Formats: sequence, structure tokens, C-alpha cells
Amino acid sequence: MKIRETTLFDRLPHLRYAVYVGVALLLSIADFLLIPLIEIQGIVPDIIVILVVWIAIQEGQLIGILSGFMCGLLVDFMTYEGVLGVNALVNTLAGFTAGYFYKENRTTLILQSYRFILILFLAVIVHNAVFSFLYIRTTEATISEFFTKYVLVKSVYTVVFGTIPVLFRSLRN
Amino acid sequence: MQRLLQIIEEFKQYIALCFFVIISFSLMALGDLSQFGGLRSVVVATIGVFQEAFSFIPNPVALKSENSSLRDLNAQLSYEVQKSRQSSIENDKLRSLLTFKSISKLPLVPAEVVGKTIGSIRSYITLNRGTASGIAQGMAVMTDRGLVGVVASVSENFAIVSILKNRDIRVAARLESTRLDGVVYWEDDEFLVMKNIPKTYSIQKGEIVVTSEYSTKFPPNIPIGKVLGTHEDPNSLFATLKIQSFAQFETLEQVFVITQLPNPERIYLEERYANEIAVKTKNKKNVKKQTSKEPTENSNENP
Repeated sequence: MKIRETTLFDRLPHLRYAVYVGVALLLSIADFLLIPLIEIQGIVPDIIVILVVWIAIQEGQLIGILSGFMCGLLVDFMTYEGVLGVNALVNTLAGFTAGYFYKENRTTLILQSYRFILILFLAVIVHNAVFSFLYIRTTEATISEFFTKYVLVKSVYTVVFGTIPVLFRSLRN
Repeated sequence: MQRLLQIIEEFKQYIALCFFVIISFSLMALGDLSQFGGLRSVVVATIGVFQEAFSFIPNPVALKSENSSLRDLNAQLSYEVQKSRQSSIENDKLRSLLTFKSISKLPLVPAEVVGKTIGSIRSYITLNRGTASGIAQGMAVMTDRGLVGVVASVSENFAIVSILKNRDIRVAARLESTRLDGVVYWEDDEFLVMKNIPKTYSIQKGEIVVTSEYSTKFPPNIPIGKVLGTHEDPNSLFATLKIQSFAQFETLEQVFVITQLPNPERIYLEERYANEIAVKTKNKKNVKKQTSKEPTENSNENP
């Protein structure tokens, strides 16, 4: 019989929230320092939403909504331009969307499989669609071009980065 | 109350969503981040520290974009410099033309060369002025440097000018200092020629050739060119002068049309007299071939 060792998180389950906050801070710093370096044709991945979806799958829809709002608000404060509340709104919606797929006993299975990628893609599509809708400018090409570039392509680019935690978790287990 | 709590418990996700969406929209309604004053300053300062720490990492996309912008700017500035240079040259030319027009006593209409055809037999230019500007067929055309040609055809807004490098154009000319008369025309060469100059006269290189009073087509004393050299045929009593025209036909841009036509009374009288002479001499067999073949301005001046 294999006995599993207890970890710090088992003894202090609420410690994971502190980890989420720490990761959110790190990602938001990376978002404005490192992410512009991998810009392609004005498109950058949104790494904060990956964390939000991850938390929503791990903790449930309610925590997903709350984390989406908090992470979005953090991004709103850290970005130079833009209206306060936009990122909070879109990340809240992403957390809500991802939370729909929360299964209490199957979180590990989802987080280390293609399901996470699919859920992430769906949540990011919602995130980017609402974000683009709020910032759309009538002079900027056609709606279809705008949708393709800022919603579809950006979502795919984000999902590519979303595979990193999935691979990391799969390899760890 | 329990029922209410039950409903809240059942729909807590939706209630939370609505709550945070409302808060988000409320924040958006507040406007920009400047309303958060002190907090914003702290965030900006913190971001600045991080950005400074990471500034050593080059951003290839930003560099590429900057490079592209600089290339565009460079091309634009080069074009501006070129345009400025062209404007300067054009300004000098127009100034000299303006000065010339103000000192000239001839009635002049300035025109721009909009077309140019340099051929082996006939060369002509097209001007952007026509009958609407008072231009008529037969008028002389010149620049501030010298004679260019004669208007061969004209429409309301355009005129075609046969330039001196044209076999149909012959100009009654005079050497300015020696006062010798002759006819200047073009012979398939780079230069104009003036024939039948007696060898007894010493013609200096560089002497100016102008239109003479004998011309029925061109006003007198318009510079044509300068003598480049003399060609003396040992079997002839006459020499041929090689003349470099003052007008640069290859680089013509602006010209003046002399809106002055030859006196029709004079032309009529000369033509009538020439016909009378021709009738009288028709039966005379001893007319010298040399004089009959000699090109004269009136016989062949019109294009």
C-alpha cells in the first residue's frame, strides 16, 4: 500500500489562495514587461486569463468569478491606458465561463488534459470578444477582420501559452 | 428568510457575476485611472522600477517597428530634400525669366513646355498656351537666353512649336559685331550652321549671332547663338560658320511666345515683287544655279 506524504497545502489548504495572489502578481508584472517582447503583428497573448481559467477549474465558478474580477482589476491598475473596469469585466466573464466546467472530483483530470485547452479557448473567446467589442473602432477595417485578428488569432495565441501549465502539471504527475 | 437564503445559495454564481459586472461597469463609468491619484502614482512608480530593471532586454518587434518608421521618415525626408532642391532650381529659372520679361520690350506670353519630341528631321515642343492666351501660328518663341523656334500649330490651350533643330526652319540672321547677314539653319548635326560667309571677313570665335531685320518671321536682334568655329572649303569663296544655339533644347522648361506677327503688308509686297521677278526671269537661261539653290529665309521659313 502506497502512503502519500502530506504536503504544506494539505495542512494549510487556504495557503493556495496566497499562491494564487503571488502568481497573479508575477503574471501581471510579466504581462507588461515580457509579453510585449513576443508581440506578433500587434497581437499579444493574455496570460492573466489563463490563471483565471485555471483557478475556475480548480476552485469552482464562484471563486473563478472572484479571481477573474480581482486579476482583471490588477491588470487595469497596471496598464497605462484604458478604462478602469474593462479587464475586470472580461476576466470576470472568463472566470464565469470556465467555472461552468468545474467538476469537483475531476479537476486534476481536466487540468492536465486537452479539456483544459478547450475550456481555455472558450473562455478566452468570450474574454476577447467582449474586450474587442468595448474597444472596437468603426474605422478599423471590417467587423470580420477585426474579429479574426483580435478575437480568434489572439485567442489561439493565448491558448498556445495555456498549454504550458498543462504540460507542466502532466509532467509533474 | 430561509427560502431567500436558499435562492441565494442556489444562484450564488449568477448573483456574484451580476455583482462584479455591475462593479466593473461602475468603475468604467468613473472614467480614466487619474481619479485614483495616489494609488495610481504608487503603481506607476512600481512599474517604473520593474521596467528599468528589465530595460536591458531588447524588444525585436519594437526595434523592427522603429526601424520601419525611420526608413519611412528617411524616404520622406529624402523626397522633401529633392523637392526643395528642384524648387530652388525652378525658382532661379523663374526669377531669370521674370527679370527678362520685365526688361524686354517685346510682347511676351510665358508658357510651360508640356511635351517634347526630338526627332532626326523635325523636332518640336508642346506648350500649355494656345489661342486663349493670344498665341497664333507663326509667332516666334524664345527663352531669356535666345531664340527657340516658331509656333507651327495652335489650339485653344496648346501650341506646337518647331524648334531651330528642324530642317523646315531657316532664320535670317546677322553677326552682331561684323554685321554680316546670312541664313541660319540646322543640318542633322548638334549645331546650327550659317553659310555663304565671305572668306575675306575674319570671324571671331564666340561672336554672337542674332536675328536680322530682314527676317519676316522673327523680330530683329533676338540672340540665336554664338560662333563655335569656321569651316572653309578651299574650292569655294565662302565659309560656313558652326553655331551653338543659346537655347538649350534638351532642358527647355519655360519659354516666351512673342505675340507679334510679321507685318502682312510687308510680306504681301515682298511676295508680289518676288513673283514679278520670277516671271521676268523665267525665260532667262543664264540664271546662275548657285543662287537658285541657295537657301533663302523667305523661300523656306515656314514649317
